[in-house]
Formats: sequence, C-alpha cells, structure tokens
Amino acid sequence: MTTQHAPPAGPLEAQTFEEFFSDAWPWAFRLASLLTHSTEAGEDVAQDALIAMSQRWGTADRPAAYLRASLVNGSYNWNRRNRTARTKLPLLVTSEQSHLRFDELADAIARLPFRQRAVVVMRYYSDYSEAEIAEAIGCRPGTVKSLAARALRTLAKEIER
Amino acid sequence: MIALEDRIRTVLRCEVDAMHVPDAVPGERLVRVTQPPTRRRPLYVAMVAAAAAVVVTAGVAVLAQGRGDTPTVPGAPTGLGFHVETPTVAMDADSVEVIAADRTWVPTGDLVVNSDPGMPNEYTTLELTWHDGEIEQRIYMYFDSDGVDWWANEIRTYDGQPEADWVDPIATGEYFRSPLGTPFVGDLDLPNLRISGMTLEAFRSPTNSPNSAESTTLDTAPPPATGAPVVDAATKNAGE
Repeated sequence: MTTQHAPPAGPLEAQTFEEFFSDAWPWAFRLASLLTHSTEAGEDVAQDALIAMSQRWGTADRPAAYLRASLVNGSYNWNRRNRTARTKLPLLVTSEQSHLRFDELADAIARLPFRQRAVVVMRYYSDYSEAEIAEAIGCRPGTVKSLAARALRTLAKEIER
Repeated sequence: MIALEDRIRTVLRCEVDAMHVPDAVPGERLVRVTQPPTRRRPLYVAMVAAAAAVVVTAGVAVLAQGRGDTPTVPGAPTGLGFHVETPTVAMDADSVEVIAADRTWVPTGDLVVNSDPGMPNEYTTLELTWHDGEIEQRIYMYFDSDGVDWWANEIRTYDGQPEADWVDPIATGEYFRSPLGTPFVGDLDLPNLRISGMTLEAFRSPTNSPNSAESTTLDTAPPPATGAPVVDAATKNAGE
C-alpha cells in the first residue's frame, strides 16, 4: 500500500483548489488523525483546514505550508477541547472515536504533550525538516530539536518500563 | 536511540496503514461543515464578533466626538476603562498592554472580540484580535473549569513581527483562579502581557450573557468592585 505523506512538490500556484484538495486530502486527514489520535477528529480537523483554505485560495504563497500549520493548530485546539473527556473516559473515547491501532509505543506517543507529539509525528511520519516543523507549530528550529529530544527521552523511558 | 526512532517510524506507518481515508469532494465537504457539531463554534459567534467589532468602532467614534478630542480606543492608556464581553467571558481593566518586538501594543479600534463557547463549565476562551498598522496582534486566553472553580491556563500573544505569530514559548500554567460565578480581580504581569486593574469572569451564567450585537461595549467606568480576593497573578511559564 502506497501512502502519500505530503502534498506533491510542483507548481501549486497553477492548481485549482479542487486539484489541491484532491492531492492534499489524504495526507491532511492522516496527519490530523495522528496529531489528534482519532480518525474522526482528524477528518473534522482536515475538513476545517481545507475549508479555511478554500476561502483564501490564491492568497497563500505556499498552500502546503499554510495547510500544515492549519492542521497543527486545529489539532491542538481539538486536543484542548477534548482533554477532559479523554482523561475521564479514555477507553470509551478511543474505542468509539478512532480506528487507530494501539500498542505500547503508540500509546506513549499519544500521551506526549501536544507539541512534542506534533514534532514526533511530523519528523518520523511526514519526514518534514526542522524548519518546516518549526513553521507549522510556530516556534524556532532550535525549539523543535529540544521538543524532539524531550519526546524521545520520554518515549525511551516509557518503553523501558 | 536509532532503534527507537525506527520503531516510532514503524508504529506511525502502521497506524496510518490502518486508517481508512474517507472519500472527500470539496463540494460535499463544504455542505457538510455548514452544519457543525455542538462543540464547534456556532455561526452566531462569528456574527456576534462581527457585530461587536462594529459596535466597538462606533462606540469609539461616538466617544471621541463627545469629548471633542482624538479617538480613544479601549485599552489605550488614557485612564478610560477597557471592557469587552462575549456570551461566556467578560473582562474589565484599567489598561491592557502586549509587550512584543521591543514595544508596547494596546488594543485598538478594529478590535475583534470572540470566545470559543467550548463546553459549559469546562472550557472556553477569550480571543482579542486587532491591527496596529499592518501588523496583527492577538491576546488569546484559555479557561478551564472543574465545575467548582475556573482558571486561566494558557495565555498567548502575537510576537509583533510583520509575519506575526505566537510568542514562543506559549505561556502555559495556572495564571489566576476564581470560584465559578465569581470574577477574578487583580493584575496580570507576564513577560509579554500586562493587564492592570483586571476584573475577569469566565463561564458566565446564561442570565448574564447577552447574546446580541451588544456583547462588546466600551465602558468608561472603572471596573466594578467585587468580593473576590485581589491577587497578583503569578508569572508562570511551565512550557511543556
């Protein structure tokens, strides 16, 4: 199975929004699902981000970067709003809201603070550069490094237990 | 550590492979999202925000005309009170200042006031956005509640750069707390935000919550006194 992890490089400025949408939808859905740890939430977040883009189509110099940042922001907000529910009803919520598979490491990634999780997902799933990740989550490249280091330390401890 | 990184890649790829990507057509998406779920920001919030901006602007103009001097804006350091309110949050203050890019920013006449209605007695926000020349500035406050108290646990401002973005690191922690139904009264003194003489109530009860274009008003009176303790908010920057 071939999985598209990022929008294709190319003359995006020549695309219509419908073309961009078709290219971007699968990876936007997957990235948002990983960031929210919920396919249902990922679908909502990806929809919202693309709708926002449709209303501003033609104004963003780099639509892919704009969409990436929108997905991170939308996922961050979703995580905030649903933190209480996930804390109180973790099993019920995850079984109903997600088709994601769970194992020890996946659970540990899901428990990371949002920005650390975002760095892990974008670095190890999307293979984005530090500069691209920094732009998406709104921080400096150096902060991406420190967030990644903290995340890896946490994950290493978690799977040693 | 390399082995761990490889495992992370494998886990994430496995999760992605297990996902079923729903079919999507731009037109269908647009139609569907016009009927948001209950947790989404309802359309009336955007309408209230837009109307609020008009009311603030008109209020500033009327005030300036009545005083016969230059237009005065809410939050400007003129001694006038700063007052904003939404269906879920109300804030009065003597002054509101963002410190960024080696200067001070005060909310101006194009101030747009908004709240994410969130969940009753669980989560809401106060979102202030305005422009200083071409540069956008924002103050976003996030509030949580456990049904007994409410508190501010994240406060964000923009960095004052031409391509404005959130100040990094975003300040997280508990800034001030008050019982539900009671406003917090005190000062907020953060590296990037100073609010003096603040009276702020989040999770306002429905009976106090105007759901109309009058949800944002300009108030020249000082903040009302309340029985809430006056506490200087501790500067916290817990990060992650």
